[in-house]
Amino acid sequence: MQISTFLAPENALVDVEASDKARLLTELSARAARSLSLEHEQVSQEILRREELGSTGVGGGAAIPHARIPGLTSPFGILARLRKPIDFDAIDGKRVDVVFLLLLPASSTGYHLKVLAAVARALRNEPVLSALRHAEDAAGLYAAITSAT
Amino acid sequence: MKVLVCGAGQVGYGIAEQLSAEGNDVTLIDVRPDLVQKVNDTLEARAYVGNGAHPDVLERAGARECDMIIAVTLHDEVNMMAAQVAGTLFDVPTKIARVRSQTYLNKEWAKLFSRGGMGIDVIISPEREVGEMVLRRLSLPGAFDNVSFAEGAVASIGLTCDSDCPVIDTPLRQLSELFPDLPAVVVAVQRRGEIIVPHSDDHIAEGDDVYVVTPAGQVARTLSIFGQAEAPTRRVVIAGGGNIGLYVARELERRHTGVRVKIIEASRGRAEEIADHLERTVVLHGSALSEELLREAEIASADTIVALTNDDQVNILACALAKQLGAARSLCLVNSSGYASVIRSFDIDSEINPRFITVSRVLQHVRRGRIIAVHSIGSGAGEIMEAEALETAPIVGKALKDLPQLKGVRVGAIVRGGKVIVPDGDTQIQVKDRVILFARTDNVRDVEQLFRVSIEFF
Repeated sequence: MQISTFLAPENALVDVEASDKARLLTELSARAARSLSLEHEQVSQEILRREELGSTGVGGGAAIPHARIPGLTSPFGILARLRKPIDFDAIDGKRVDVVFLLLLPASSTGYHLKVLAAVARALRNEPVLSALRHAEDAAGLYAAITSAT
Repeated sequence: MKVLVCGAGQVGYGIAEQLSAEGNDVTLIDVRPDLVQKVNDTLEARAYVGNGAHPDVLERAGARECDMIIAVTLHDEVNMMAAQVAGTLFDVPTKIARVRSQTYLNKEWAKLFSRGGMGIDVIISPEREVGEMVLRRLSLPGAFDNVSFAEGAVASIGLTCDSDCPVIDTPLRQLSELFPDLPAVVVAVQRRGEIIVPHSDDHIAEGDDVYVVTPAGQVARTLSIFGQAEAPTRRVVIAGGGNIGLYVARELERRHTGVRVKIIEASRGRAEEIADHLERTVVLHGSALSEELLREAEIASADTIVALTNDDQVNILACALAKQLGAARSLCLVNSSGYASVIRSFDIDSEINPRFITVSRVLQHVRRGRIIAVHSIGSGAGEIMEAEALETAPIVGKALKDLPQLKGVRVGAIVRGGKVIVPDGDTQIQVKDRVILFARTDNVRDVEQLFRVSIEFF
């Protein structure tokens, strides 16, 4: 599973500013909705609802907020590196500075788990996380995540 | 989580006390400097003087970074405005407002709080909820606490075990041997003010308050086994014709045509006003502390005196006096927790604390995972919770006895596909089960974790 199949270079972002988790997720959802021509509210509601059931902070300062979105035809991702780590209620309690927002078609089944697994594998990999944190710019961030698999 | 509370009165203070004790970052705002001072002196929370509906005040209090605003000042309009300002200007994700005035709550205007309207996520209406609580208690006179879970399939009832309670000194294990077909679980015991999570070797002692979880259909039987079967309420005297008193009288007229209600109201104007709204209820003007008036209300033949004035002391004394004059039972509204220790010595059978009802409602929204309902008991020492087990949650698929996180927690019932199951240590929770359990406050976090879904959940 190539991450580049669902993450476009322009959706790798560095120096993202966010005061807290809810506002970051709303912001990233709005960005995703714009490029997919979806309703902003629809995306952010699904993302926040999923987050309420259990944080997607996987530990090590990384998080993978995700949701299935009706009307979406293929997986879509945004990778954001935050300027300052924020509290994410993560599994290990650590603050989060690398966030991969993942939207998947409502109808997908086994396939979406593979997409999620690919991202989770990358963000649980210490050298990859380090490369993401040390990337100079957005292009470097994109290179670091897409060379991970 | 960062929580902003507008209003530092009884309710606001209670919410801040509970949330800050759980390690949340809490900020309070109130117009009264003395209340602000009290918070700063006694709680692990910050407090500022100001009007919670003013944008500059909210900004200074950190609205831009907070996860939730809870507006519980004395004024509906301030609460609604504070929630709306917090949402519109500071994108606060969860907005909760207390609204008392019935006109705002009328179904006809339900759109007012919707996303396209003021955008308030949760409206708390304590008067209505307190009124419902009074009605539930009246319908089950033997219980001092009575809440329902899982769409009414399961009840949690609080019972006091007097000297004539047949199961005193019986180990809980034997209780299930004596009554093998009684699907009831004692989830918590309050003994001399302390909450105990009972094990099967523990026994019930005289004077214990026990909380029992049982299917709704078994409530009457459970009550009789615990020696608390009481005849249904026929005659009620209500002290205080305020919003709650009027609500209760009206609903009693509407729902139970057999119940005869008399209300004692101190203000002549108010007495006349409520008399216009009621059909069969007798409204008496005067003090609920007047022996003469209580006799006029035929207190000696009353099943229950319900004291609902806005003065705790009047409520407590009215109950004591009414019982002395022959009322069979008393139900007392008490706002301040300061009276908790003396209330029993006044022969009050059952009390209702609006603060705990409101705090319970707020906690429901603070709890993470799939927590559907929360009922705070024992002055906030513990919670009876209802949670849904979702796929990938750690509680699914393991025997209850193999979950170390359940130490200090007692599972009372499981609802699976509409059927109520009484669990034992070998019971395994399945996906989509509704679980009704009791947790002490220090174990609530563990319960949350058990119901929290894993990363692969969609």
